[in-house]
Amino acid sequence: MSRLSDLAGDQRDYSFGFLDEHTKRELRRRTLKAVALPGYQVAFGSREMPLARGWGTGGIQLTLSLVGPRDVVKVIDQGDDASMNAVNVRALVSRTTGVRTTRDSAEATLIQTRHRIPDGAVRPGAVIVLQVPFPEPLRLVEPSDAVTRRMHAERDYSRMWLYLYEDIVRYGRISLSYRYPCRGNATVVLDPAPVPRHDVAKLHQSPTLHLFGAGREQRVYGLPPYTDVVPVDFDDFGFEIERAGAPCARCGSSTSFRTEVPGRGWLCSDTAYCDARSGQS
Amino acid sequence: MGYLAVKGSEEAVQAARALAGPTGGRGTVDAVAAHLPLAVDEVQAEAGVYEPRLAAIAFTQARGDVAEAVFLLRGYRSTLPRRESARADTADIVAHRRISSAFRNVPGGQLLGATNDYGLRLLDPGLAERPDAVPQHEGTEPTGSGLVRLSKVVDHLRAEGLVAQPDGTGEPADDITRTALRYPASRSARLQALARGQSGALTAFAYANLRGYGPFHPTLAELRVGVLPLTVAHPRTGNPVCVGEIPVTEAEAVGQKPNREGGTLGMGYGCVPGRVERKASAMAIMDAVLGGVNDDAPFDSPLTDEEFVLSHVDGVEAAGFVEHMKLPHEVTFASDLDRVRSIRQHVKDVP
Amino acid sequence: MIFDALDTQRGFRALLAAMAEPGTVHRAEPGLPLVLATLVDHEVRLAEVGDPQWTDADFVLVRGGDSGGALDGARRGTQLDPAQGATAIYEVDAVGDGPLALTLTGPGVGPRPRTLYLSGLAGSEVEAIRRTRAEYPLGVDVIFVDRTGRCAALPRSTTVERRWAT
Repeated sequence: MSRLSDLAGDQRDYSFGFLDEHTKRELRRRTLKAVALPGYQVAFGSREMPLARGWGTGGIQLTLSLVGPRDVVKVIDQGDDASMNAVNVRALVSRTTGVRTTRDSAEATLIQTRHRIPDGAVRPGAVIVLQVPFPEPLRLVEPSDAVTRRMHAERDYSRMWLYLYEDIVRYGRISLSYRYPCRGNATVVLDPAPVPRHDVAKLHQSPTLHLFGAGREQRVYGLPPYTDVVPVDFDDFGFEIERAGAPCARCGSSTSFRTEVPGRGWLCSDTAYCDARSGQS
Repeated sequence: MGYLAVKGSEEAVQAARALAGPTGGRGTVDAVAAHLPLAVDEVQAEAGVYEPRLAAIAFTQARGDVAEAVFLLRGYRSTLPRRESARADTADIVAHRRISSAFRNVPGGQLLGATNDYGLRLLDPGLAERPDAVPQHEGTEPTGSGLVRLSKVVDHLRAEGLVAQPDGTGEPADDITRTALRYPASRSARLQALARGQSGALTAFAYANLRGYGPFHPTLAELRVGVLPLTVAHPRTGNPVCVGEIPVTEAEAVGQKPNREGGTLGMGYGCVPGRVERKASAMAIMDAVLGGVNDDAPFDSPLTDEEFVLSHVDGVEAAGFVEHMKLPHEVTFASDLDRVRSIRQHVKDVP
Repeated sequence: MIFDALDTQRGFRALLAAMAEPGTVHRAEPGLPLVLATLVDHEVRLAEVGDPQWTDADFVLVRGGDSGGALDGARRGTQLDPAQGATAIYEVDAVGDGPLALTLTGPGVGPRPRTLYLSGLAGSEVEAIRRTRAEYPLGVDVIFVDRTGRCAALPRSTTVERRWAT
């Protein structure tokens, strides 16, 4: 036990990685099932975490069940390591494990992220954990979970297609912005988390394992590397990624995902990526 | 400016926390425990933990924010190892308060106990000029003798066949803190979700039912407030051993019309730790509504949608998600604006 | 044998990598005891083929690499809840080398099929594994582990073909 408490640092009244063994074991079992069934939502008993429900408890439970002493952990929110929620999550992880943290996505073995997939290279073998508020893509057309579960079971996505058709009639294009529904492994429709469409395009046949944790909704799902992930669209009204108004005012990138800061122009949302390109870290 | 300011956000977060931090200490915790026992009980009931001292600490640390206090206490609960389930028969409650609205009098009597229900609600500014009194209670429990074991009013109704016998299967109850709640929910899962639900949410739903938005027309057969002994099997002998007792509030409500199956009245059950009478009563109402009691057939009420009610009564989840709106959302908003601009351009191009 | 939190974390990461990249071999010393400590507790059922009500088990243990075709009886889940399908754990002689070659395609494998070599798994067992996943998403997920701790996995999403290397 002294090995554990050395690693856990000051927080000796909590177990390694905060969660008790039983909780971790249950989540690990469910995660393995999720990976065996790409895109399928697997229910798990979500535990109370010191972060409020809705602030990433699913992601943090996944991270804490994954993390070991040799991991290097990166945490970002909106692509930014210094964002308030990322700071909190990173503090919880490092305080309860003693593990090393980093801003460099190519160095990290474990990346927990809210609403972005990093623009820079990710290390082979790394795991990306996404925070998911709504795991159910069909919530767009149906509020009842009992009904949407049946729709997936029957692969009956007709109401979603109808929604998209009516969307096009009304707006002249598919107006869905984030949480863009995708077909996983040519089987089930999944919600890729509130990442921008720019990042959805990264999922298809990605070399990286992506795990999705929804704590409040109590679901976990996964996409193994090299899985087909195809955004739902029509032949004549295709999936479109976001167009920024200008290259990054700081590093000049025109391929990263950029957001506008009023008065400053367009800036990379992935701050570590932008820092590396503009020679700062 | 720019990323320099953003990198300093860790300091900003620490500074913000220091400004919002609790100022109360031992004196306040003692005062909360002694003089604000109903707040302590509300926090405990929603947290699903009976530990009054910790609840008083949580309430103090949260500076009086009940949802925040519940959050703190639930987080603490999740670090505790789970040992046993204990079975209890609430007929064993030693009650210091027991009323029935169904009958003028009942065997054992209408025991008012300690209650303000019948008093005038006049604010008393003079209270601030007086020193603290010595509480006559331990938390919400009166000390001293005079506690009795009483027969249940609903059993009297059962004897006449007006209320059905309980249909418990004897199987262990579900635990929604360990496995996710699925719909349709088992009765034990439903009761647990309601017991842990936010008092305010339950009160609003129960109120809606009473005002005509729900199909259950209840009379409160019994409300009892007392102390419930908890028994587990001895690990070696298997004999029942009392391991302690907790204060509880229990409410049983019966409906208005005989049902089609056995001609019995519908019934709803509420039970919470500590003393939260409003919540136990609201819970009994919602248990009946979600259990399908229908005094008004046919009636299509949103309150009978089990998924709608149970998904939204949890205070920690509701508060957390509503407050999460304060987290940065610039990426999703940027994605929205991309679509909006595209649509507006389309509208301009296609008259 | 007692395993601590760091051991089961190590075991989990090996199994996760094995499941996410079917056919790759990972280390989970000392093998089956760590795999069981990582996955099994009082809230799930572990059984061997032939144990009472074994078809209801969450984890089915097959020692000796041959269930005699009985794997067909393991739980495969339902359309509504495919994750209810069981996990079969095979303790075999060798993971990563041996006369049996399985050619794998599907999620986690990549653009070219991957070959997993095994020793101590009956050929008929491969057929049983293929049968149980014929109606994806219903199926049984499979873990192989040998006595030196090497492990590999065949999630039900993986398509398995058999050929003999020797």
